[in-house]
Amino acid sequence: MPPETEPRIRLVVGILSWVRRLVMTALVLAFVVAVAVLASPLLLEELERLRAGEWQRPLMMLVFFLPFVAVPGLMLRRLWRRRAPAAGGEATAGTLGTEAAEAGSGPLPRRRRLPSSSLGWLVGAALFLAVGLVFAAFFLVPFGRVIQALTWQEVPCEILSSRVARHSGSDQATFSVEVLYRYEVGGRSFQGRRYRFLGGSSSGYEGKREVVDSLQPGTVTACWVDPDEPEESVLDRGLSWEYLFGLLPLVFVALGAVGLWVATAEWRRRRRKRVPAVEPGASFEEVGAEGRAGLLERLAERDVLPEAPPPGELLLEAEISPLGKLGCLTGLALFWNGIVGVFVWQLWREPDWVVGCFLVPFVLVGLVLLVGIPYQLLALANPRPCLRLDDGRLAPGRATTLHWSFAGAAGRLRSLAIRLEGREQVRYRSGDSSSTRREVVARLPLVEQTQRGLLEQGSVRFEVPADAMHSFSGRRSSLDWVLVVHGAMARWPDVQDEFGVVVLAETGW
Amino acid sequence: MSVEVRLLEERDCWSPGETVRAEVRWRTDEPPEGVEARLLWETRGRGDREEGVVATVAVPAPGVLGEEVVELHLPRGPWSYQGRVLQIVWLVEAVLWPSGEQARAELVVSPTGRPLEPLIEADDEDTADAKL
Repeated sequence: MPPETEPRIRLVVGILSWVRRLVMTALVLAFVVAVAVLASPLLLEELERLRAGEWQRPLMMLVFFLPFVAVPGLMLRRLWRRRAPAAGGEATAGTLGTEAAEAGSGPLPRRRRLPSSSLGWLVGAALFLAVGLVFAAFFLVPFGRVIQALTWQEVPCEILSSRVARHSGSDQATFSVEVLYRYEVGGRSFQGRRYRFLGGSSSGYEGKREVVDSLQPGTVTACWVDPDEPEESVLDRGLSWEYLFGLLPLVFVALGAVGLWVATAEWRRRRRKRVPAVEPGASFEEVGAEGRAGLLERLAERDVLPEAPPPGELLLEAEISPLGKLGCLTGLALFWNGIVGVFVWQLWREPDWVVGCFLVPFVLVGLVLLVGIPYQLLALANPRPCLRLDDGRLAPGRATTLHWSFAGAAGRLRSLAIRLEGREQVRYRSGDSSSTRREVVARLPLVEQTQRGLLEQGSVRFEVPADAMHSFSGRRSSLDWVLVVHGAMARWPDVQDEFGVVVLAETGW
Repeated sequence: MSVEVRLLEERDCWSPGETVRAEVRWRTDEPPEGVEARLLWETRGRGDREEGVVATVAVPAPGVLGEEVVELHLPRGPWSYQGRVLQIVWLVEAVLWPSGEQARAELVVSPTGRPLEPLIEADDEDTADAKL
């Protein structure tokens, strides 16, 4: 390429990059505006509810819409983030490259920070956790009072006044029970206004009317009084189904907590691995070999080589059982549809085509998840492969015998294939995202059987090729070996299972 | 100020468990606090880099000019590997303290006399990228 064309190419690439960013930014902003326009009637309505003192639904809406603001925000941040120049001409942010770039300031370690992508996750998870906690607090605090009130004393009281209070909303009013009652403790007279611990108002009128009808002025009934603070009282100390709404924010709390744990995993791992702090100016001998080597994030041999199984026969275990797959899918489907279901239920009670259109994609995803459950349920009835190696200490050039059999209705199998597969897997950072790349680098067919009667069980002797690479498991890269079993079934989900094996760094020849 | 490292044996490949002999030479204006030779492997390729130091030999309080022959014992693995998205490379590294200046020499650690490689050709079906 002539040298003068290089700057032109760079210019064109630069312009294209800007155009791409501008187009992407416009699309993201258009999405945000579209969501805002579509959701504005809903949001205005929630604001009205908030003004009327009803907080459950507005908070639910806030939690629901949070991702629609956070995700475009993160996308814009990623698009316009200033990229740091690569150290030492390296494309990847390898630890050595980073340290080498800092060599001008001496080789002493610097405080390690969270990777920027982890920071994004951290902020997202913290938001989830905070909103979930705030929301949950509205239920948990009254729930705590209910528990506390179990030790309160029952005291006779007289109803002085009662009514169903109406709270105006933009399209629908909400209602609450307002009551005033009098009771005596230790010769002193007190007045209370608390019907039950869970406050706020809701849309049902009839239920509140019935409560008020049973609490007409002059009625003598019982209230519950805190013996330590007799001015604290309540008419109904029991639980109601509305407390179940408290479980919803707890899901967000759990998600936020898991997100925080995952986001800080890398940082915690680095802290664990970091050698004792080296003071600036510490001498060669003071720091010691461990300190000097610890300037770079490095792994010991034992961390990356597979542990050898005990000599002799080895029964292999499937990496994910059909039950595990079903459990994961069911959990995800319940979580997703549980949240979407609340909004669908609300929509059922108060039809609104704008909200309905908005919910369609979420409902569709939920349906796909639900359809996957019967598929996995059918797979539960599949015959389960059982694999056994005569010698589990696989190594390049070493031969062993694989025995297979099936538990369950193996007669329904139409064909069977078993292969030994080697897979490279690396993780790499690109901008704010972390990606995983997988490559199959070895594939050895061991069994290819279609003849009935020979499918249910059998054995095959095989040798790991002498020039095969052993198993390797770094933190961000690995080479894994698996035995892949594929049994074809007629008009039924196929048997698809994988059994991890280790190929030792030994030679079998 | 300079540091050099050179493998003393006239060969490219070592078997796991063997000993590597290397010569470290340095020349500085000021006496360095120390010189260190390290035997390590590192991953290259598409993924983020990882490293493992398996042996170090320290030379405390060396003069401004000097040379040292070091012997470093190779472990049983990992073996040198030239994969599709993952490569494992062995190195002897010499580092001057406290400047951090370093020199490196590559070697192959393999029982077959050359880096291990994938056993099948690349196939689009076998490739999968997943973003997080």
